[in-house]
Amino acid sequence: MTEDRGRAVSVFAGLGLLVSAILLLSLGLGAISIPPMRILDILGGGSGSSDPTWARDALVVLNLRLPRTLLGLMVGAGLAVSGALMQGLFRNPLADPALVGVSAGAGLAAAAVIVLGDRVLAALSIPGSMPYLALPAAAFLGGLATTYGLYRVATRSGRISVATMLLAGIALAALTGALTGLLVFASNDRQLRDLTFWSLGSLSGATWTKVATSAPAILPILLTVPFLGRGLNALVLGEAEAFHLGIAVERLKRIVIVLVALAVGAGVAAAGVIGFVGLVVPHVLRLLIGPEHRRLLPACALLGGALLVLADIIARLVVAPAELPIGIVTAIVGAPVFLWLLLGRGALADA
Amino acid sequence: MPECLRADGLAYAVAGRHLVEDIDLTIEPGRIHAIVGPNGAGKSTLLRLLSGELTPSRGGVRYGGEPIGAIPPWRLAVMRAVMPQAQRLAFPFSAAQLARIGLDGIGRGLSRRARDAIVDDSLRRADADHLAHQAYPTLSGGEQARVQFARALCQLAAGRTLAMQQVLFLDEPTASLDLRHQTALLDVAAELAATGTAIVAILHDLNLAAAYADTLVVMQAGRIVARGTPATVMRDELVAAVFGVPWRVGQVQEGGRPFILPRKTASARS
Repeated sequence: MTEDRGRAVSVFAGLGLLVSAILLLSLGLGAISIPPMRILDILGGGSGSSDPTWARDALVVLNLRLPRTLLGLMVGAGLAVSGALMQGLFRNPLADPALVGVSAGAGLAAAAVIVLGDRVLAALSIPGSMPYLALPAAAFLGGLATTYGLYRVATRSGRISVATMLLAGIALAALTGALTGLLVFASNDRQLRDLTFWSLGSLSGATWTKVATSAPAILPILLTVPFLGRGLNALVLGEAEAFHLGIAVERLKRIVIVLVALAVGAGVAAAGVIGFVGLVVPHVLRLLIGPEHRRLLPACALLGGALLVLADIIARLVVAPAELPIGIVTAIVGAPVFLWLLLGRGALADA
Repeated sequence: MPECLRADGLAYAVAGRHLVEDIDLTIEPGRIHAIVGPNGAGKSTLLRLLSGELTPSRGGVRYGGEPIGAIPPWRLAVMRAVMPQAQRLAFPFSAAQLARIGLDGIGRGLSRRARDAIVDDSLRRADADHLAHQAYPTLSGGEQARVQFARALCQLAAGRTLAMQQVLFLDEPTASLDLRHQTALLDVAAELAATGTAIVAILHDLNLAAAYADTLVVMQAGRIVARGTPATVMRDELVAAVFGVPWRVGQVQEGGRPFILPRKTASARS
């Protein structure tokens, strides 16, 4: 046990360093490079009035890169923790919010707003274009609606059947994917660009407003993480066993489902559909510190946030001054890593 | 007669079919109750009803006079532990981590040192201490069963600081164990019984049941058809009627415990 604890401490220290380093990189790199010392000065509220470039750098850091970085941290942490929670809930290390259709439902709602929004407004003869807030709100509601529908399908006389929920999730993901395809078919060029952007994910639209609207949906899952670990450990043994151990199982499951729907819905609303973070991050961490959820969940928040911000840095830099959608970066890196994990650890896929 | 657990007129039906019915049962502290019966007799269903996992469609279960439905899960966990049948686990918990899950919830008031001691002691009693750092999914079926037993022991030990009266449910605990570990596990159960814990075990091996049980509960088609000490219950007629085999019940001299030997069925003789 002691060597276990020592290892966990060093992994958490390493994750802390990683997050700090990636934060400085994310704030410093871009069209204008800003050295780390100046970033720390700016964040500390210093005023280097002697330097003419100071005001410009402060503007870039505080108004452009800081909200973008914070949004990336939050969305990444939310996705990774959601993935770990879903895997615990389904007692299957391959479960993922994208798998049970939460992301797909959110994506479909967003696509519907992009393609049909203006036509609906025109039909109702309301002048002007769709208000910006409609898009994230729709994505969020779409995610919640999918999760709730899934929950209803999978619930029989008060109990959730995990197998039914997984299969229903796959069916729902296929259906929402087809409907989204239909919308793509019906869209014009401008809408198509918007759709692509949304379905591949990006942090480029980050503003303080977006950070402020996402925080209330993503922070709950991050703040309740310390209280969920014990219950999830028991739940992994089986629902009956968790009940024997004194866990209020149905309540725990409801809490987890709502938290995941909130975090993933808000994540999709703010940054589009970003895959593989929820799948790969918990896997890697289980290899490093084991499956004990009281350690795993906070570690997922740190690594998930760090990796998404890193992916965003890559997305910004490789084709600068243009930007890659971040979902392409996470999939290109995440999918092979995931395959490699499966090859190396056959036992994990044995579930 | 003291009782810690009592079932009155218990029945459980699924889709109109009764899996168990008319169950009146008293579980007494300090005694080993072995539930035996053929497949589909309702043994597991009865165990799940008694442990509170299932809600009966008729009748009720009381712990120390308190209806089970009124007891919140965490307090129930203090009063009883359940060792499930062998099961798979998709996450690489070590045996020690898995056993520790047994006391995570109800052992929060204990010091870390006390909790470590309970985990070590439980693993040792279940003869799983040498497996402590191995990953549970890589263990054999029998080893996994012993780790699950250690987890139940952890839960009982942690709950003992809070509850006067405890029940340990064992669902076919010896199914995948070798002979030495079968008796070792039931010896530990007997030690627990000697300190006042009530044991309720589903057993398939009539000889193990006869050797260890203070009370034998025989089930058939969802009902209890006989109960009492092994010597009074295990009779040729009952074995023939309930299990459908014409084997003779013998008796070991020491203590007069009955035993039964398998015999090739006459019609199968070549």
